Amino acid sequence: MTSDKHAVLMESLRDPEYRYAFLDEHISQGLAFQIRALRDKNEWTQQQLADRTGQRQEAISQLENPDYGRYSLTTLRKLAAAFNVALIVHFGPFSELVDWTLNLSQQKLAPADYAEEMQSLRWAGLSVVSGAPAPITLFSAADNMGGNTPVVLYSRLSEDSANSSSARVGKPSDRELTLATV
Amino acid sequence: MGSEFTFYDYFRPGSPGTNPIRDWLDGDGKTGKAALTARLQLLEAWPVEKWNLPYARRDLHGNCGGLFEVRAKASRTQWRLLGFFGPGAHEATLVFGAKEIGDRFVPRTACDQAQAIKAYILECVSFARREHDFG
Repeated sequence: MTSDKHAVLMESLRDPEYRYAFLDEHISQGLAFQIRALRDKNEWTQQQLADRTGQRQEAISQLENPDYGRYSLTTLRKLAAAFNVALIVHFGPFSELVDWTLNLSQQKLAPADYAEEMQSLRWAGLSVVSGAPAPITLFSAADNMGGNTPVVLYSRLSEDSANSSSARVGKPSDRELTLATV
Repeated sequence: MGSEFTFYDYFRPGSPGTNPIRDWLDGDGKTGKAALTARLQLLEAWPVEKWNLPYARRDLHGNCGGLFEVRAKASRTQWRLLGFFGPGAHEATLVFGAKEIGDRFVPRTACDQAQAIKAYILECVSFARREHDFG
């Protein structure tokens, strides 16, 4: 169904006027939803976020309004710093936008901040060094391991459970690396 | 964590049948359709307790009671899609498209029509809905 939706949505973008209206709406509405979601995740009031970004509470209210649509990169940089998340601005294919819009989730709207990401990485690393049991952990690391295909790393629960089917998802292929306990 | 909801459209049975939601979205301006499509996609990932203004209204009142409203503004026009949560878990069904001018729906009978369609869908769920495809 998802691939059907992808094809239908891509086809609907054939008209340039609609295509760029759709793009504009996803930029402005998407940012508004993300700012609200990230503020909620941090359990901040609009005033607290305003204090952290040097703005007025009314400005934060506007930024969270999906009908507002007037964002500056300067403001977005300040918000990214306050939330401790990346701000990714780049030109790309419409299929990437379509993928993003069809696979939205709370986690995508309010992604992990840098500290959370590092904590996850450290935790996974510790399980390798100490041999301590760790829940199954999945990373997808696109193109940072020297190849063009995403590489999946698996950590193992323990020597015994690692040999069972419950300790991993799927059988390793030659493009997967398994982090073994030592 | 996946999406919170899947949107469905009211589908008028027949041969081959029609999708009044799709027809309404296609028929009245590209900017309105773009705005509502984006809003629907974002709301699919938006918890129901946050379906408040300015994003949506989860529980309308009066003769619109039991309906939600998806809101979007484009080309100085307020676009609205009326629907209800259900019938299944994590489902939201769109039943009627309208505009809002001066705090009133256009057409004025939007909520009455939406309620009638909702009742019809609840009687014959299996053939009166189609998954919304965002196309």
